[in-house]
Amino acid sequence: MMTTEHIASSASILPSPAFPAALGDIAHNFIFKREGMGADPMAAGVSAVDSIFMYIFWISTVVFVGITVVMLYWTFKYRRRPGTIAQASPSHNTILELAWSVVPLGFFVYMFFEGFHGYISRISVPPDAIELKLTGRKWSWGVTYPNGAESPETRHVGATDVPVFYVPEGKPVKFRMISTDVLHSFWIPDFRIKVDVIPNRYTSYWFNAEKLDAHSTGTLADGTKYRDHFVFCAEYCGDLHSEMAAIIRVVPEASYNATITKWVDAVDPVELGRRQWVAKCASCHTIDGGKNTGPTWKGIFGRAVGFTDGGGHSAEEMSNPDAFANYVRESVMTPAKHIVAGYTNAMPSFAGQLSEAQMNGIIEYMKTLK
Amino acid sequence: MTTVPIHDSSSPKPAKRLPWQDYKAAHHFRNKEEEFDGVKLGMWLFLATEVLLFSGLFCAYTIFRILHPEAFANGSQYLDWRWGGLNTIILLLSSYTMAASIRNVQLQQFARAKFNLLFTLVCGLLFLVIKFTFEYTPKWSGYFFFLDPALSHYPDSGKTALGGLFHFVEGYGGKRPGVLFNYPFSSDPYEHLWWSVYYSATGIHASHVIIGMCLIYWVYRRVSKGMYGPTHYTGVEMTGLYWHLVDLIWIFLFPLLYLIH
Amino acid sequence: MATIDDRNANALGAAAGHGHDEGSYLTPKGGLITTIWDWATTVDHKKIGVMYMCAVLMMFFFGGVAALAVRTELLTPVRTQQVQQVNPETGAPVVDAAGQPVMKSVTTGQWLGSFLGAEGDSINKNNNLYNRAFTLHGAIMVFMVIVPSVPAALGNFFLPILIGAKDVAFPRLNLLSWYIYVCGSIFGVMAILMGGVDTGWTFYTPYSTTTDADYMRVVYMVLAAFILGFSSILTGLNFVVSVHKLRAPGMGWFDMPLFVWAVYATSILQVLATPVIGITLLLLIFERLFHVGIFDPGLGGDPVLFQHFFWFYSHPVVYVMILPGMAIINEIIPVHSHKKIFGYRSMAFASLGIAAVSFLVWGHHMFTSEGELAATVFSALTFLVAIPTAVKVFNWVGTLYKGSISLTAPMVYALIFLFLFTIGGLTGLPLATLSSDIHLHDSYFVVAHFHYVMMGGTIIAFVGGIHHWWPKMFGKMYNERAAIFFAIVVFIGFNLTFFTQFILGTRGMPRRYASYVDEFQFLHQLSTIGSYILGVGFMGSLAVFVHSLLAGKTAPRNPWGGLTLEWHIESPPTTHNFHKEPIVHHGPYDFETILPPGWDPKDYPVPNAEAQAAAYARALAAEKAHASHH
Ligand code: HEA
Ligand code: HEA
Ligand code: HEC
Ligand code: CUA
Ligand SMILES: [Cu+2]
Repeated sequence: MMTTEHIASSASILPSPAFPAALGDIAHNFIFKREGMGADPMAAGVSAVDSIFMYIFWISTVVFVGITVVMLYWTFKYRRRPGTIAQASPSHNTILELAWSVVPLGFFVYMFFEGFHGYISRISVPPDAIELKLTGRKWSWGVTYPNGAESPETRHVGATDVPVFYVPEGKPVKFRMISTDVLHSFWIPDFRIKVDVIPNRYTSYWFNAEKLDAHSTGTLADGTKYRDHFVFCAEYCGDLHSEMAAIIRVVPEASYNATITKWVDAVDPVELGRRQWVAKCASCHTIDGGKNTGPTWKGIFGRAVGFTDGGGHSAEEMSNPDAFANYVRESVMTPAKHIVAGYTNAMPSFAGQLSEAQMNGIIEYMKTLK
Repeated sequence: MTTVPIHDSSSPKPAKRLPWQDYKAAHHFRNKEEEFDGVKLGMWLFLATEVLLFSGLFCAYTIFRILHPEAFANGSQYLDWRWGGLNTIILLLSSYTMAASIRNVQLQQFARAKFNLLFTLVCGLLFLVIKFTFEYTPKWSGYFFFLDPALSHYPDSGKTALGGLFHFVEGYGGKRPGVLFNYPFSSDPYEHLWWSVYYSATGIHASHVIIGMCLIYWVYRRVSKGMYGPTHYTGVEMTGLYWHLVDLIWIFLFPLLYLIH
Repeated sequence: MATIDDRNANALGAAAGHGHDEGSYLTPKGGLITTIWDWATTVDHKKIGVMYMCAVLMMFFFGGVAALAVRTELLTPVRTQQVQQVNPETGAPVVDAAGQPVMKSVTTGQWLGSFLGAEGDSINKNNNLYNRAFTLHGAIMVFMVIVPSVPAALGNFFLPILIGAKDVAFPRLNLLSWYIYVCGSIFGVMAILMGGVDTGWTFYTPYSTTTDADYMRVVYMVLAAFILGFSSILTGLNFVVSVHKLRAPGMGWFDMPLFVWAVYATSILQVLATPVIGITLLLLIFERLFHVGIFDPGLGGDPVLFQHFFWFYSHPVVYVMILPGMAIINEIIPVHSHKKIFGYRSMAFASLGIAAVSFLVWGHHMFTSEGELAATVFSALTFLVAIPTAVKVFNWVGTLYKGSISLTAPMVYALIFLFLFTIGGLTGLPLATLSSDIHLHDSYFVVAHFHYVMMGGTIIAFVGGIHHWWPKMFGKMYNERAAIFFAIVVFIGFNLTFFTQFILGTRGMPRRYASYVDEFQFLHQLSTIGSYILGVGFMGSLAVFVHSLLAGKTAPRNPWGGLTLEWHIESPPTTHNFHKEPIVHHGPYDFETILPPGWDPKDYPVPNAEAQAAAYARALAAEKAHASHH
């Protein structure tokens, strides 16, 4: 049921390319480590960024090397010789000074326009894009598909399990994004674009996932090829900012459709609850007994709990299904009311963010975590 | 620096030499004139920083007015332009007496200078009293000063405070900034933002009035001690500049807050 | 034709007519307590400058320690793993009733957390410490180190001397601004002692208004920044008035040393930009204390508005940081190459131009959160700032041409500055370009960019400036070979630390991350090693200075052969700097015609050298006679 893969390394995500011959490609690959994304449709967006970057890179390199060489050469050539003073030379030269203001200006104007075009092409969403709803919260990403599905899959990245979002290859995909708490920023480095995720205001993000062609990073259980891309949160948002990652998994369109349909097909409450955990709770609650921001859920059903204010519930109370359900419900809707001893008031309220069925699912799921 | 001829020859020259007559510029200035010019330039720069400080607030005002026009239209209705207007007149008057006191010092009319300074000080105080008793207090808490003419428009709730000095009016208070806002009859969900802007702007302005009053008091003391006179009146002039700025900012705040609906 | 004559030399160096003989400003005025009291209440710009320098270097040290802590945490990423539990005594794997192995999750790679015993425990605790560490580092470095560094320390000391004044325009205000600085720093330190803040130096709302909601420390830190702003305004105001009113006779605007020009431009920026951060921080405090809602989206406020306010100050402030750095380079390069600076006027106007345009580009920090139109306009304007900067770089290099260049320690720092600052500036270009910034924003590319300009630019220039003026300030020479050696150590360490970060950034490493995916580890480790080398380099420089104070040779008046006014007077200067008001007869960089005061005409064969030396010797003799007369 679970598809969590324990791969801490992403090195295996990226296949090794044929070593490019041209210097430009070497530099490009070194800078972006962007092997194998070659000439696919996605490259339209990516190449707009990369090409202007490489353009600036080469201009800068030439300017920089020029300045350094001249500087060092003159420092050496005109080193001080005892008993002499500096040789006479003009202390200003209008033409020269104009030239070195105007010539860079020319380059800058070009940079600006290229950057502007690239930017516009990156932010104008094509009308036929598939719209997915994305929520950023401390400290996880959640995506809701057009059919209401949410991803139940995770992959181990770094120190946490992060959700995996499927998108179809070669199709424009748009996220309508909102944050439920502080600022976040949605960044897929492989696609060279990030957009801030802001509370109380929608922002949008789109990309055109590449065609898989020969480039895939793995195969699903049914043999379908896929390719994974990292999602990072790029706007500082607190403790687990660096753990607020996700995976964008590019799969063939048919597989995408089948997967998201499979995800909404009537699920049993436990599975529904598990999905809620993946999407909303996993960043703070483990299910394996590990300690995190919040108490682990392992064995929570029937576990005595004490609060910082001295109150609490006994093991008997906590194994009474009704009392337990009410306790969980209260913990989720008004977490600040009672704080479990040993923890801080870090949990946000999820009031309005969970349906009755989902709430019930969470409770049922917790009961299975012995 | 303009040197002012002493018209007032009839007034008897003080027998004792006053400190201002012996005033010497600090050693790193060439002379008093340069020092005066320097201080004045410094003061203008400082005033520029003050204007920029408030410009941030004006920006916030404009942006929120655009974002939530309804809230602002609603909120500003609760401000009484008559109190605002009275305060404007008081400040304008005080600006005049402040300017006059500078002139007095230049003309060696120290008694008049002191009177004008005191008058300015009283105006400042009056401004604050009006602000706090007739504007902030009722809006914040619903308590009206017993002399407040507005009190007659509301039914008597019977509740008083401070020994009857303040009378409570049901359903008037609670016009507070941000989360403190709990005015029951607000018709716009964002009205608290108007109050946030209102209290921030007028509050920071009021703190400037207080600083200005401290300066005026300081200058008053120094004038009493004979530290200023026709050839040295830097402190009075600078305090005057500061007071005019405080006045000027109010001149902008008044229409923005009280008159535009 | 600019020449040095008796009157001039006399005025510049010697006592004549002016009644009393004064000792060096460093001469203690009595016992220990008296001396401390004398320093604590001094209005002498030189003492205030020295006090600023000590405070700034101390804060730099603290900020540096925090930086090394940040780097050490990043040596290894945080990882959790499932491992089989073993019995600690027998070493045998633990199994449950059903015979299944019992697993537990283990967290590794938490260096900071291990101090609180949180190792293998909660990732949050560790990350939270990391976040406090980099906030501490950024806030200290920006508000307490780099903004006051050059203007308040070296500027205070040298700006009045360079314009031939006895002091700054408002000496008491100057002392006040030092105390305000101390007071602000105390608030900052208090916030740190109370547990530190984890907002980042940018204090972005709504995070900054909600984090640590039950504590006052964020308010203290914001208050610290607010108070430090006042100090910065007062210093700026003081300098503007000094430059306008206190220039020595004969010194027109275009006879001022370029150091003065650049510090003047900086001061204008400080005066005009700081109030805006003042009101922003004030509103932030209101927001935290009273929840007024102006920046709180939950109450209808706008968090992006905060960013606009913040950057409206904080972009100009990056030029407040770099202009004084440039100011120092403007002095070091001509003096140590004995060459007139190339393009004096374009240099002066470039400083003003940078200051002016810098007010129009703040939006380039927000390309990913503001609208398209704003982003486009800000991108275009940002490129404009690069032009005057380019002019400066070219002029500095042009000054070397046909010079007589001596590779002294300050000159080595100047060359390092040129090298590093150019890289830093050039990497600003892809950030200013819209399409590449939406990739690079908030990545390590930005981190590398600003360390190259701030650390490689301003701090290197600051340290170079200390080397340049050290003999003048304390009357002692230092071991130059050692100084150059440590400069090179710093250079190597610096590039290792921060060049790697460019590549991390383009490859996708976000900033303010306590942990990262494996593919970034190698580069992070290089960077950490580099930072240790960097630390060693700075400690070495510090040792060089301490050694100089304790055992340095006495410095001559004019060790490098400079022509600006400070090289005419004693090392260290007397309390009033000049014995008589100086009259300026030659430009600051007329190296082709003027014999540097105190130099042997044989070593420096300008036309008229002998006559100039004689005039200078007469003036000096007059001073001596005058001194012995008393
Ligand atoms: C000393 C401080 C300093 C200086 C001088 C600069 C200089 C510049 N900076 Fe930098 N910057 C910072 C400090 C500084 N910056 C800081 C602290 C941040 C991050 C803040 C944070 O988020 O925490 C930042 C971030 C930052 C951003 C936002 C990045 C992001 O977060 O997405 C941008 C974007 O435009 C930018 C651009 C520039 C540009 C164009 C210059 C230009 O002025 C550079 C001009 C110089 C040159 C270009 C080199 C010399 C020129 C030549 C040799 C000419 C020839 C060249 C050609 C023909 C190509 N900077
Ligand atoms: C002036 C500014 C300045 C300076 C000099 C430095 C110096 C250094 N910085 Fe800093 N840095 C910032 C300003 C600065 N930084 C800012 C503004 C941020 C952003 C914060 C945020 O995101 O909110 C940042 C963030 C930042 C990060 C990113 C953190 C993150 O995003 O997760 C890193 C990581 O490597 C880093 C490293 C370093 C290192 C290794 C140094 C080293 O160069 C330090 C070396 C110095 C020492 C070891 C001290 C030794 C000193 C002495 C011994 C006394 C010296 C005496 C004499 C020389 C006479 N810095
Ligand atoms: C930002 C971190 C965070 C997130 C996200 C989070 N929690 Fe919590 N949770 C905590 C913390 C911290 C506590 C302990 C303090 C308290 O009781 O409020 C806690 C306590 C609890 C408790 C009581 C635990 C016990 O041992 O008695 C329950 C039940 C709970 N959370 C459920 C949830 C559910 C369900 C979700 C997701 C829908 C969730 N939490 C998401 C941080 C979080
Ligand atoms: Cu979410 Cu950073
Ligand atoms: Cu900027």
